[in-house]
Amino acid sequence: MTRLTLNDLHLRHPGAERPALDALSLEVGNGEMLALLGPSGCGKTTALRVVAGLIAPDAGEVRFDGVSVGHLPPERREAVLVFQSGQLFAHMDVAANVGFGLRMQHRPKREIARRVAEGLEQVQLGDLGHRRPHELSGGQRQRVALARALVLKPGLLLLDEPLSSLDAHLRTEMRALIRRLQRETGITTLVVTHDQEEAAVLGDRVALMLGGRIHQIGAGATLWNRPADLEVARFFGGCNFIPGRSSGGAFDCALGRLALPHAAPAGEGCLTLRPEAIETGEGENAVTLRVIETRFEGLLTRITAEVAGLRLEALMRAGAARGATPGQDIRWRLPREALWVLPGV
Amino acid sequence: MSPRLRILLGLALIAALVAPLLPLALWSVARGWFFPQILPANWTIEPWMQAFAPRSEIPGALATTTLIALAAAALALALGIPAGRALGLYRFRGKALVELALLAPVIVPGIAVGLGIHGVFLRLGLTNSVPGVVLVHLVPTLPYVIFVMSGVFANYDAEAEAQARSLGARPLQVLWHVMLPAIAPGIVVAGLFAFLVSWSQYILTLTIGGGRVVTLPLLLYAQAGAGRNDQAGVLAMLSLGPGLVILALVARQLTGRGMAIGGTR
Repeated sequence: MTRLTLNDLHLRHPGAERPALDALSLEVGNGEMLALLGPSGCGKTTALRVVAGLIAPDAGEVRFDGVSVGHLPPERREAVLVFQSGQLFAHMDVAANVGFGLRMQHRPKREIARRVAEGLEQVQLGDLGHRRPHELSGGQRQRVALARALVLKPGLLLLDEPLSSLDAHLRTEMRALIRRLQRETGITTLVVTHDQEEAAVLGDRVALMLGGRIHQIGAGATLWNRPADLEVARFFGGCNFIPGRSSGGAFDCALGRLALPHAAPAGEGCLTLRPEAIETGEGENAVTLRVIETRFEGLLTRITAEVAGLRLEALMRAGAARGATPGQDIRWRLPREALWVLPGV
Repeated sequence: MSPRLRILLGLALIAALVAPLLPLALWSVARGWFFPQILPANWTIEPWMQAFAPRSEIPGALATTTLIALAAAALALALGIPAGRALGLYRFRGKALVELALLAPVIVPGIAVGLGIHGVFLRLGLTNSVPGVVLVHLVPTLPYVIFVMSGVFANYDAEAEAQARSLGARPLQVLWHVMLPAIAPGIVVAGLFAFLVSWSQYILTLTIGGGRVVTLPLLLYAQAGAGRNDQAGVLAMLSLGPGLVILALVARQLTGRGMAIGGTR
């Protein structure tokens, strides 16, 4: 298996105003599955193509196990990229598609047949070898594409939005399959996605990419609850930002003095907490606000409330939201563990 | 449209297309066929015997025509596939101009093109030779190939090639295992078009071949001009051959129900 290092990659597409990759550095450990998360147009697919060797960066280095692969064409790299659309070859049946890479290596026919059968078994498509791609469902096509990459036993697997073309229930199933196969094979995997949930479920670690560079890397929960900066917080749906000053484990702001969790940064900054972390009722960090608006959003209700010119938004389940009517005062508790300080904002 | 009406219209269309050819077919098997007669008085295969007699020019011309058409079609494909790919896949500055320039030979009269090229070929020593004729046949054939192929490539997903590279295929393997199978139906159609256009070429063959390179259309015009209706009939029937065969082969594609010009996705 392969350790992947991206070192200070720069790339600007011809005619583009902003760079697609801007000093991008990243390390994916041996056997690790890293989710590269970002909004569309943030350069994450470009990064994947640079690793695969399909685009050359303007500057910077891609290293596999510490060795630069910049001079290698895609077919000689240890990495296999699975495209978003699956990209099955329409003129070949499923078995020929899965065996494509092995045929290109001129492996013996018998070995190809055996490994193709194993590969199809791995993705639970053992009996579909003779189907044509257009006879498959979206989920099956995606699994064939995955098998086609896995039969090559690559050192590094690159997945570009592997689930985006599937509907919701297939997505859950496919997610589990990818996770299981990655655990079983131990292939170092870089998976690109724009879906936060997908990133959190798939990735051992999640790297958030915005505007061509990595803003934060870590466990999914860390990115959600302990964002490194305002943009990270905003990306994850953060909407509560309270300016103030952090000192001695507490935060002074328009809401008063709020207790902070352990190891929160000190100094001038911005307090943030996720809207779904807010609870109703009394206790530590309880504040009184006036309800401005409630909006039904299906499972949850979004409540906007104000105090001293400061607006907070909370997402609550139907039961907790019932008491909130516009114009009334309400008591909200801001749990200490859910608070975080973005320094210097 | 009701099925019956459709069949009737189809038959009428076929009749209109085939009717002018009937006299030619009849001439090739008639002995003496004069005015008020609707059909020839006597039937014979004499014209066909003559056409394939040992001293006849026709078998040689048939071979030359076939050879030139095959070579011209192959050359037009070799040049037209890359050009069609560039026009179909990429957007670049001046693309409309390039497309117009490619169409120009179809618009400009053949005689003007032929005479212009004649001067150049004369200096290059290409006149009066089969290679010269093959080259000049690119003028009418290449635009057809390029336009068919650019249409094919407009529906071609070049990402498949990137995927193949990432799966370990070298560039030539990608060409052979991914691109060619995907565009094969288009190549067949474009190649057949090119073959037919070259096969029926008269003016360019005459200007560059200088009468030394003898093809079927040249003989046909000569015999028709000399009032040899029986030989003209035979030659016309021979000239029709490949067209009919090809039509039968690609009819499905040409009616738009097939996949040839439709695409690869």
